[in-house]
Amino acid sequence: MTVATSLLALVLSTATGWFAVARWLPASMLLRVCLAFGAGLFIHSCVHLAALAVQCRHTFAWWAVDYATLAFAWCVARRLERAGSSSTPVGLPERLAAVPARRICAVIAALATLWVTFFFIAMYHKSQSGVLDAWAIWNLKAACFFRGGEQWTNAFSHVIDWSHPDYPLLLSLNVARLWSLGGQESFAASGLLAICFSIATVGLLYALIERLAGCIPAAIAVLGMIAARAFLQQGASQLADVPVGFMLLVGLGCAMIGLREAGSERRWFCVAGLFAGAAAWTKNEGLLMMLAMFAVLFLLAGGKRRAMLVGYALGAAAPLTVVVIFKLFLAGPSDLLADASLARTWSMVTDWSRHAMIGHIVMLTVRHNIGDALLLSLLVAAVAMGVSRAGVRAAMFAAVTLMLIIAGYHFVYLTTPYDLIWHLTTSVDRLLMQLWPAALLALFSATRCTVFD
Amino acid sequence: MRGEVVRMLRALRIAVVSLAAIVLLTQSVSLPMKLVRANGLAEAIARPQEDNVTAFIRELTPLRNHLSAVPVVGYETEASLAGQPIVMERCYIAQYAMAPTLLDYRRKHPMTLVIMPPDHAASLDRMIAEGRWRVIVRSAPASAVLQEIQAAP
Repeated sequence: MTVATSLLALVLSTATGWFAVARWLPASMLLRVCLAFGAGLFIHSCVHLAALAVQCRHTFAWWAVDYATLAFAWCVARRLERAGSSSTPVGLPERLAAVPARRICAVIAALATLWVTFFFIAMYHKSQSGVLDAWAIWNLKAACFFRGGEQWTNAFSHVIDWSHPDYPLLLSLNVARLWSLGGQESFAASGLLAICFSIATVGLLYALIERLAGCIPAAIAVLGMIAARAFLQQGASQLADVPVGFMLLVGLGCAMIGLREAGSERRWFCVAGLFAGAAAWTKNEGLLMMLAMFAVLFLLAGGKRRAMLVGYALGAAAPLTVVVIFKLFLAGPSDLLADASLARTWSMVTDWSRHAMIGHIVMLTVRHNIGDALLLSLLVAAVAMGVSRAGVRAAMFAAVTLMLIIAGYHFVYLTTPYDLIWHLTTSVDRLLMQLWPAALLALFSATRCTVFD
Repeated sequence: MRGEVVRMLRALRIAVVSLAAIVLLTQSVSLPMKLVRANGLAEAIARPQEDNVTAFIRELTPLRNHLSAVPVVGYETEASLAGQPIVMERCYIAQYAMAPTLLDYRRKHPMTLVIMPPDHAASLDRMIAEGRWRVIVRSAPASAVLQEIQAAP
């Protein structure tokens, strides 16, 4: 029953995302559904937070709030449609749609995804409460929201500073939402959400690369993603790293489509900004992702700069407002900034042994969690397919953004107040999975699908 | 001649891409199987087992009556705040118990017991050292929990 209720709640939020965002984009159905899934979770998390603030309590009230949100999105969509702003689903460009292997690629990618879904379900059976951080951080906050009554803000108490009171709330609010709609706490709800995020990430990667480069690179990228040990292990962990990776992937992918295709750039950049902001509402790393994307757009935009930046800023405005309100009025202090001082930071940044240590452990983690054979196969496949000149600029945008993000992560590790080795070994694999889907997108978006013509 | 070279290069590229795809497909099929075997997931599907948290709750349930004499904090906050015996069925993670709405209760009742599964106890050590919690019972099986409660100061 809990699973059925949670599924219904996820369908409801996806429908909201459909009317609010996905319906207006000229894209394939798969891409639209994946976008609707993420956008709906963002919208309903904000609504859930607002409802908590006004002391919404009963199961019936939660359902009413959710249906009202959906109805509002539908009304806005109807009004915009009457104003002539709607957009129909579009197929792929002719050169990509004509590839004979298209159906085979889609089937292979779908079967592979189905196969790993069974693995995720098995993982859930083995450890229903997820990994330690899942219940100590993300689901703990959800529990505070669900049972806290008037004291739900105790989730941010300094007494439980080990639970990171400064972490953003998209995931916790959505778990609390599923529990509230189901009327009880259930690991099934949080597990289902984790699995849905993993599957949506795979579907999204396929849809984006198919749109940018064609079905063959898309299928290879999907196989590469699910062949990574870390993705499998984190897919069912109930942490926020796969969700923030999903948001980053949407943000980058939509911006790449906007950069590459003429016609509806403003919409694509608006959605890119929205999801970059949603990444900041999912994890603190999302703030870095959002800023990195903005900076690279500013540098690479060329003639479309104004349209791009305005669209991006418009999209990011709403989630950024939510994040700022959260940071100002609810969040506790960040543990990473504890005892920070300029002198201490400078001494850490100029300590070359720390740089070397970070590089060493990152390399070890990449080799263990992804593997040499997998990396080599992906690189060989990408090189053999060849480079599509039309896609180079968009791929450069993604690659430079990722490098900026990695530089940011490097700086955080350099200046961490924790023991460096402990901090690295407990988090690098998760950061790697935040960036892995986006890295595959950057690699394969500039390849050519026409090799089999 | 040039045309033949182009055709050969194209065939080579097709062969390389196909080979890479086969390697990736093999790995994406075999890795989950390896992990299933390594983690005992096949048994978990065939015969679903309680995880240690659930088992701990089940084990503690018969102790409810004994616990009523001691201010034990589970996460059923309303009951705890009213000074009622804790409802143990759902006291599955002690960090929940410490965290959300029990802060006021802790101020009123400095003698507080928190019961938790043993493998989740490590992160509490710091809190004990800092004196945030007066008594923490972190034992299993249930009989040991009872002994600790009775021996608590």
